[in-house]
Amino acid sequence: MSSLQNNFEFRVLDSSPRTAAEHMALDEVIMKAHSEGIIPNTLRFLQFKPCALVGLHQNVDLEVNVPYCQEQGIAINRRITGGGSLYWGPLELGWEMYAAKSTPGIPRKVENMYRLLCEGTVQGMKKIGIAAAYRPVNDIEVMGRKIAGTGGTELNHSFVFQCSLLVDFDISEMMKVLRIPMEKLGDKAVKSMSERVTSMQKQLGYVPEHSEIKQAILSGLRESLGREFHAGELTRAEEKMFAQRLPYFQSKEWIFGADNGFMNTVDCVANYKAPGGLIRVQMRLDDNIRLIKYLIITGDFFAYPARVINDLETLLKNTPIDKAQIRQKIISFFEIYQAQIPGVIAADFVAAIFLGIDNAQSRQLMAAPNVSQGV
Amino acid sequence: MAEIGKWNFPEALLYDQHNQWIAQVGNKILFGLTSYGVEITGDVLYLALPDVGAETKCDHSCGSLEAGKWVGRVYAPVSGKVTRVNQAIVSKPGTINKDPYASWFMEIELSEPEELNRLMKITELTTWLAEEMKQDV
Repeated sequence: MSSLQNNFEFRVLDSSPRTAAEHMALDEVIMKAHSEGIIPNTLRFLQFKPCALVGLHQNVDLEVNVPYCQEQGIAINRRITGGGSLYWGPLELGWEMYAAKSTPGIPRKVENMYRLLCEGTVQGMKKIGIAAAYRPVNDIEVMGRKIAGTGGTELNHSFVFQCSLLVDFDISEMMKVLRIPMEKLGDKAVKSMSERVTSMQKQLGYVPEHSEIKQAILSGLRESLGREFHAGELTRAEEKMFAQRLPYFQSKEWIFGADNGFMNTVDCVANYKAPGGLIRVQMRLDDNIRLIKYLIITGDFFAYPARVINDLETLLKNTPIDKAQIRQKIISFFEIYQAQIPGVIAADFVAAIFLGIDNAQSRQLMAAPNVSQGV
Repeated sequence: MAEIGKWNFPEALLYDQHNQWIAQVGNKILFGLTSYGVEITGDVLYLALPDVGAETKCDHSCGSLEAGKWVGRVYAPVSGKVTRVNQAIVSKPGTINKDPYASWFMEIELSEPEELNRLMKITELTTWLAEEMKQDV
């Protein structure tokens, strides 16, 4: 850790809305500058012009409705961090932290770092009247509905942690911009997604000023980390690197990338009839069918508390496709949760998810031209 | 096998400060993530490695791994040329979490053999890691 980074103050960078390419280029530039020890620990706020952002290893064509974005002038870009695709509306707000991995008080274990920084954000959100809570591993929620997501990466002895806050989120627009493994059922699909996602506007009844949100976040982080935050600017070295790297982040090479460098995905659906109603599972799996990237569970059953289904979905996100492990996770979840779903038991959810996996595997076998029967 | 904290580290291996183990085999090395590296990273979901024939530079990033929403780096412990890539763990990266010392990422032919002297032996690792682990208490 350089002497620049060995103090208790963070430089705060803030700017008017930038394009997705500009922000992605700045992410790389600041990460690199920090890893070289030429800039101090930094906190940066991000406001975007409307855009769709995919994770580092995602395939744009599978995740984003490219023709729609092109028609609407919505930029598409690729993050330097992982995770899923995001739609950023004009009022959404992000913040990110660049610091040394060895910064006292910040855990080395990624899961613990997420917890600490998410809880700092939660403290900030409470200051503006939002009853937010940390949802392991890397989300922030209000009563089971996601209001912020996080991600991060590292370079040498530095890391960046990123947080995206939903301020005045347009779910309907998100469903047009992103390719979500959910049937386009108009209002029904929007309603279903509204049960999983919320925004500051929905929680407060008005759209808070960005300046108010930023002060609240800084205040929460100050309390969590015991650090001070002071306004700063990009250095000349960063500005120079930014000018050099921006064209790459605007290029198709970066945004659409090489064909073989991504985790490709397949979508599948299962309808399972349980005594208490239909369970419909819509999943996105990696194309080797080894991992549940994420899933959406809907149906005509009644669940109490309502958030139980959202929590089950969160639990199963990024789960390897190992049927014994999936069964164990679901059974344990319902043993602990004490949920009430009349006519539906844990085994029904297990069966519904297995049916979806089997459907995906059958479809893949049929699509493979050289696979012999019985293999 | 040496124990540091809750984690095991084979004594015959070398280690770097990116929580990677390195096994020397003649003028080549194999390397992967240590048990502690796996612990702090989380479940590895995706691994991207360079192609055979690629050049590596000591301590520079030569690949990436994704665990949930975290993208970690794979760092070349030495300079040289990639002679083999472990496709079995590229296609099934969850193996890294189950058996980190059997999950080698790639084989590199050394171009600067003296770089091995910069790596830590088990005694040096014990001292360095004890300090590192204090951050997660």
